Amino acid sequence: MIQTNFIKNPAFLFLLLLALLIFFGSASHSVTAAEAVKRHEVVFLLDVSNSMNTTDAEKLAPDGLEEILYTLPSNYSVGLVAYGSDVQVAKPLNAKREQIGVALRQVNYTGYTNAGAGLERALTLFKDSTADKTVVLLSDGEIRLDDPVATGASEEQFNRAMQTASERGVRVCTVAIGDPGNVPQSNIYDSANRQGLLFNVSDVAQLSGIAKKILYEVFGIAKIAVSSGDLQSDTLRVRLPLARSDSINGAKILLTSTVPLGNIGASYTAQSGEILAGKRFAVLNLLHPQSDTAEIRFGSAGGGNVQADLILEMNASIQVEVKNTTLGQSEQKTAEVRLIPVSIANQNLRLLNDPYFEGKSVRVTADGQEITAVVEKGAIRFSLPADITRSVAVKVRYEDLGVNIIAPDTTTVQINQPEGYGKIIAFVAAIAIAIAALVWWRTQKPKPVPPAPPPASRYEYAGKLKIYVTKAPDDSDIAPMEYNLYRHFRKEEISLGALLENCGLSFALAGAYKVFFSPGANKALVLTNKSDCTILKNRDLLVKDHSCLVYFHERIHITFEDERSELILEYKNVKPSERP
Amino acid sequence: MAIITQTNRTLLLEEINPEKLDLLTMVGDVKGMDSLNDEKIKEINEHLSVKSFDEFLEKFDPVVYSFYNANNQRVMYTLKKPETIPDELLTEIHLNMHNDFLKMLLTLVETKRSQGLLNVDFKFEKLTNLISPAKVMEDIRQIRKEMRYVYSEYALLEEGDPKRLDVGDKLNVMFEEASMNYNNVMAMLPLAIEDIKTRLLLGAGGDGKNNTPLTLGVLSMGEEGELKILEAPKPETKALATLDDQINQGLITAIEDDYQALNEENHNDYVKALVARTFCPLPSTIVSTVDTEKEIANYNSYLEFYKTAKDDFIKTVKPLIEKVLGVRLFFEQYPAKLKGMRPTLLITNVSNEMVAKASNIPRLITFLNTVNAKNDFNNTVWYSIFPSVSLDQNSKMKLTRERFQGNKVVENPNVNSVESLARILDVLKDYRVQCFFSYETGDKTTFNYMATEGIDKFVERCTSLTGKPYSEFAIPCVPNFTIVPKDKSGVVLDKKMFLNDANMAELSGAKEDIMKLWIDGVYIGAAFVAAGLYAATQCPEYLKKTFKRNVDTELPGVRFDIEAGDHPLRVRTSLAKEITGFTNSIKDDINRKNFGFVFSSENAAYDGLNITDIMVYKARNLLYDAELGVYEPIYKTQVTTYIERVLRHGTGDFKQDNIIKFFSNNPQSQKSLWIGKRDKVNSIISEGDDINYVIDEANGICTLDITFNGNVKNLEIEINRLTSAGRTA
Repeated sequence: MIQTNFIKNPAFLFLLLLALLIFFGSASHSVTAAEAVKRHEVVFLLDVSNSMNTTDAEKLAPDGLEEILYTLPSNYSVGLVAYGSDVQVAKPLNAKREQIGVALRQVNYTGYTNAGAGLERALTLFKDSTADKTVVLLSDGEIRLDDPVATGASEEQFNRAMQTASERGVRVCTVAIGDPGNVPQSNIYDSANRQGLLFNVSDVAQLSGIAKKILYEVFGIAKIAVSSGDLQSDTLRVRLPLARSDSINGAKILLTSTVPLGNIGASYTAQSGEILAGKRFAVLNLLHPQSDTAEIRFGSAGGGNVQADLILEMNASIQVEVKNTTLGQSEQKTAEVRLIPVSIANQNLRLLNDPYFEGKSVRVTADGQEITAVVEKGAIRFSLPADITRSVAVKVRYEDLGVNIIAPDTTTVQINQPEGYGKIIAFVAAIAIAIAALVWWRTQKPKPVPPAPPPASRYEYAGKLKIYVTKAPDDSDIAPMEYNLYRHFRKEEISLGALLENCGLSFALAGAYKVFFSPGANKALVLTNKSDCTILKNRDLLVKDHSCLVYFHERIHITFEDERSELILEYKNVKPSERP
Repeated sequence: MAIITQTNRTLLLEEINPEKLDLLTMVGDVKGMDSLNDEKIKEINEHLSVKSFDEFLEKFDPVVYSFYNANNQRVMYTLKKPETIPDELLTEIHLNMHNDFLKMLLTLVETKRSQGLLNVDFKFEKLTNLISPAKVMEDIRQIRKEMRYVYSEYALLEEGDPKRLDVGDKLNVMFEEASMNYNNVMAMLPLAIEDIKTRLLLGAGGDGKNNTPLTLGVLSMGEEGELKILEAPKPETKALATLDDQINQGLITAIEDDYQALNEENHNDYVKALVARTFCPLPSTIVSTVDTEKEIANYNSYLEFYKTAKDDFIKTVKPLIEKVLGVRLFFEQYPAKLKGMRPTLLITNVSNEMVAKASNIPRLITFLNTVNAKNDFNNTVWYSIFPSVSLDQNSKMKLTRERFQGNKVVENPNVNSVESLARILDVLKDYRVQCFFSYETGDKTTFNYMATEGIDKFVERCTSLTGKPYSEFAIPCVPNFTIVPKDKSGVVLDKKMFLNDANMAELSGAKEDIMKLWIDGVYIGAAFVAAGLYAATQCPEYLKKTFKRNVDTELPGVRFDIEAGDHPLRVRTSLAKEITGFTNSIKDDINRKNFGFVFSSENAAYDGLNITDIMVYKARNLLYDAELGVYEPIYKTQVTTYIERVLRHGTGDFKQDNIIKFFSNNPQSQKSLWIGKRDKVNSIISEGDDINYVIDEANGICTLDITFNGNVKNLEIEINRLTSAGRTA
């Protein structure tokens, strides 16, 4: 009855007009950006002087470089320069990675240390002025040749090359093996002072860890930790976290070990695959995986620590949608921007349209500011002011999503002011909405207005969470986990889903990404529920869109949206002695 | 008045009887709950808490179930009640003081202690054969003798005589005890075996050789003085025979009636006669003729069946027996006559794999939160026992999700994984419960093994537990105690019979006809004894009894250091030494590493007397002090926990101003009171000890520096601040 009356109601006509307005009058449009994909150039600069025979008897230095070589995504070009008394090997950036790998394996440690010649030659290999350029230098000592004059010349050459590198925007990342000692002259250890990065290891056995630091921290390669800790058996089964494997271009499983690895084998379903193995690492490289699991088998000397990381690669082009909206009574104009990475091979395939990404936060830089965007139904959604018409260059930190999306570095978003006639229609539509809302309101009970979201926190995290997955979706038993909020975050909000992912939980718990934590007053934790999960604290239910404070030693019980999986969180103090 | 009246309540993490209630079931679902109410705790105590071994047997009633499998003609034993078998086809074998196996083992422990002999010298076989049919029969003979005596008294008294009623009561109890034997065939087997032996070998010599039929005779002298054994005459005096016959006959009738009443549906005459003969032997004049060949066949079959059944029984029951013995030895460390801080054992009665499951751990947490996070300390748990840890330091829980597909390994179901221990330790540490754990029993964890291999293997096994936040609360106890060594655990039941050329029954001399079963070694986890001994030392009465002087009557023995001075010589276990001792090099190694809770079996003397008991050599947890290069003594953790709890109670939950008063120099402050008693054996602050505190107002943290003989241990507590601005919510 109500519906019939409503249709006869004139307000209905106004609503219809509004619908037309939305369809024709909105300023949304789709643009496929045509910017070029960001490229990276990396030159390995390896010291192969005689002293490396002592420092690196097992040749773990080239092994560490190989580990980086085979893990880097496809938009990285790699070259190699090896130097002793002079440059021994020089492989250009367009050389195949296998050739570089063979060259690394064949190096001989001989001669003096002519880092000047080495660096100079390395800089000549860079071609692309727009690419990010990095030299990764591995050496065990200062510059030294057979006589002081030659040594001095090489040092000057090194200094000049460092200057050139700085001018050309080439980053020098130095891995120094051994004790820097007390060398007053400029040398490779000094490279940190010149906008470079310096890693120092006392033992070559640590190089594998440094290789990973270079990959993940210096190059920002996104990875998903599959395992950390002691591996009890010789088979590793990895599940790809995405529901659709066709959105993945490449998947690499990097296995590193503190003891020698051997007998590497793998089982997988993919368009193609290969195993690239060194002394203490192995990479299973899959192109277009076609199933969600892969298995890698290996043999290792006992007593070692084996770790595995999953590096996913997606090739994408970016579609842009912009919708102008007016925010509340202030009539502030904003543009809701949606960047949609789509597959290059299939423009209809939204690469982020997967439960794995849903609700994830990702940093976006626009208008010179960093904004936190959210992934929603395959699009990266965020808002920009739309007071003036302009083009905005947007840069997305895809690595926040845990995968390497090879896409244009920046995306141009066009923000337009709405047209004049649009205002009239909007005005009429506003009236119609008001009338329709009045009619509707008279027939409905008023819904409670959800409370405003809490303002950005001004407090810092002070505690840690003990996590007990009391019921997993597959009924498996998950060992209790501990997550130190204090150590990992300062003030930023984090979702439970992201937290669980950081703990290495491979399956998703429905709704976990919509439960948020942020620091509160008096060392409490602010828990915000934006999901349909059932959250209990001391038998009090935390309903959707509400928050509560969790104090030390308090427990939260969560039943997830699948109404099956359950989890208990215990918030505990981090004692001063436990803080780093 | 003492705030804390007990510091030795111990949680035993073991399953005893799956049919009884367990901690997880009683705690129940803890969704939305941080703690349990008082009624629930009371209920848990009623069902799961015991203060003595007898109470333990009564409450938990450890039992083995047996049923017969017609397919393989064997008796099957199981510790878990089979769900698909009806009750009437299931027999419960209760491991109580009536069980011959348990009785034998307890007798063995007692005898060895009183004799003070080493394992190498002790005659284990003399006691292990207590479970042989012959020895079972000896027990029965004693019962029989007593029954006959009491029955004769009963028979002589007149009807209506009040004394007859009293004797009747006594007789009823005896019949009840006897009926436990003839109530089922299995229990009758050893009796049947002995009965046949008796009847068939009556005329045989000690070697069982039987060549001539027996006819009873009388020694007499012939006409010319020659010695003759003449066939015995029939009895002439009726009176004696009548009287004797009446008593016997009356007893036989009573027993037969009793048997019949208890086995209405399935009794048989053979068994009835057997029961009668067993419990009331008939005079030889009434002995009936037997079919020798049939009886020999019966005998051999009974013996074979009994041996297999006993074998299977022992294999099944051994893990449970070891737990039962462990509990016994836990309580045995505290003298029965003392009435002080008697140790209490709270038993989870559920497997540790279940407790450590992610879905169940919150229940354990809720329970401990209730009993250990309050200012009421009556139910506070201070210690725990976690026995039978797998020797494989990488052993995982059977329920853990396989992150990496691994090889399938057949695991011993009676052994707890290191992973489950680690998970439980992680919970225990938050409630400051010290956990005594020991490794799976066997010949690789004994004194003998440690005497040859040293302590390294144990240190290595504990690496995964060291350097963790819970390491302070993990106490590895080595070595395990041997009750029956593996190489001395053979029990000769009896020999098979055969029909010889003279058509008589004879015991076989062939090796393969000796029915022998192997107990395969019986051991007790060191954790039970370590926890029992340490729990005992918490009691001021115990310390008073041991040290006589300088013991405060109120203070618990939290600061008692069993390693210090002559304490190891005075505070000893109740178990006899097992070996001559460790070599000097092994002892040096132990002293260098200062690892674990280590027992020693050494030659020592105290006060002019030789020590024949096992002593404590080291008492350390797994918290490693890299600076000093040693593991920390366990008493430090106990003291720290005690001080924290007293402090919380005494300062109204760590109110800052009260903390200041607590540690002030005022003679009535708690610190001053403790210092005043520092010369006592059970002082809290001993000679060379001190407590100081520093309050960090900005962070609201008070750090206590507790100095033990110059070494400082820190305790951080969050305080209730003085100013309301800084007051915690």
